[in-house]
Amino acid sequence: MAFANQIRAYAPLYRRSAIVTLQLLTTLHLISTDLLEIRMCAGVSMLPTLSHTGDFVLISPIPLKFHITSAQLNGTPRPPTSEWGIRRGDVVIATSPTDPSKTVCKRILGMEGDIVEVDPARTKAKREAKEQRSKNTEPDKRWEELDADHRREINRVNQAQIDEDAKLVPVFTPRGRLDSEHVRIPKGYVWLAGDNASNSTDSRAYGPVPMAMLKGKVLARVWPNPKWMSGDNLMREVAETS
Amino acid sequence: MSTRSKHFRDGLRLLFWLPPALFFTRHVYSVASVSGASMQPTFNPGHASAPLHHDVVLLDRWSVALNLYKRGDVVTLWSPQNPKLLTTKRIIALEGDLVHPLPPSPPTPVRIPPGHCWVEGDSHYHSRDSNTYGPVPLGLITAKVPYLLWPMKRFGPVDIGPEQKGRVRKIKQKALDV
Repeated sequence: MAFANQIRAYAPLYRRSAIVTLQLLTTLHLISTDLLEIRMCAGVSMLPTLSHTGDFVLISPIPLKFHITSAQLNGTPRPPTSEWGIRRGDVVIATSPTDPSKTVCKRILGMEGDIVEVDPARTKAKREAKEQRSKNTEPDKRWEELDADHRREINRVNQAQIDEDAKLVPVFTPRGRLDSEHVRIPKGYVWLAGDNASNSTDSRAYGPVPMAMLKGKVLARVWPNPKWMSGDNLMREVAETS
Repeated sequence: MSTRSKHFRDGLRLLFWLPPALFFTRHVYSVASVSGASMQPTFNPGHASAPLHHDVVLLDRWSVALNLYKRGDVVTLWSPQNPKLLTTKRIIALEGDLVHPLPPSPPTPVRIPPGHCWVEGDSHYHSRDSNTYGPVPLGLITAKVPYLLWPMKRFGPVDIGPEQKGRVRKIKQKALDV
């Protein structure tokens, strides 16, 4: 009885704290979805820029909104790529095209209207295989033939692996399939790629990604090794290390 | 002076309710008006005679967070070709299904990739849909449209649309086929 009375006496306090908690949590949610968010990014696809064990990054959706609205402000059909918006080379967070409950962290390689090479490695493998085939037609060159067979076998295995990877996501894109070596990115789409090309599921597999799938731009790596990230200096960094 | 500070405190109290309200409209339910003729006759059936009339619909947001989609659901999604444009379409097929597209798409059957769906407007002549831009990622969907609220005359649940006989070969999936 005394206990019940006590509860009754404190009821307004409980209600008040529940309300304040609700307001606080939703405010934090609002800040993280509309202003700034620090999130952990894990996975091998962005090595060496982000480690596979998980780096904390600073993400903001504001540059995206700026990019999408700036075309209207300037009255141009295509948004200008500026430092405040989205540029080639920027790292972004996007809803995964293959699973809407997941997000992916990739780099923008191309914007609408650009022509990109779908997969340089695959193009090279195809070209080599073609060369081998043409070499193979020459008669009476046993050793070369054997060698060619061997290399063709390697290429076949490699190609099988690449095809297997591609098969994970059968691709239908607005402008033709991704079997072609080069693709023009349609209006409203971007081309995403992981920095670790040998182990990344990206636009090579699922094709160009609609701009509306992008959720935020990665502004900086917070921990470990804090560092500002902007398209330009990161592109240079990748070029120097490779 | 005291009444002024009281007004100030009331205003502040109202401000603190803004984030919960925004959370509700973004993740639980909200209301929107539909413009355009692409979903005729489900929405705006009299578009030709009254182009300024907009139907008002209920948006169900939590189904999107929980990833609950059925074939026949009407959804709002960002146009894949224009990130500023929110469109209303009907889900025709889900991942794994085989769809026979309509023109202007080439007539070869399309297998819907994982995490994608095939969307079409109810009115083929006024709609730019998957027949133009192919399967779309589910991540573009912002809400499900379960109810029509206004005009009063047509108030009620949104129907699931005609059966797509022979056009869609369905693949049973435990995660998606609820």
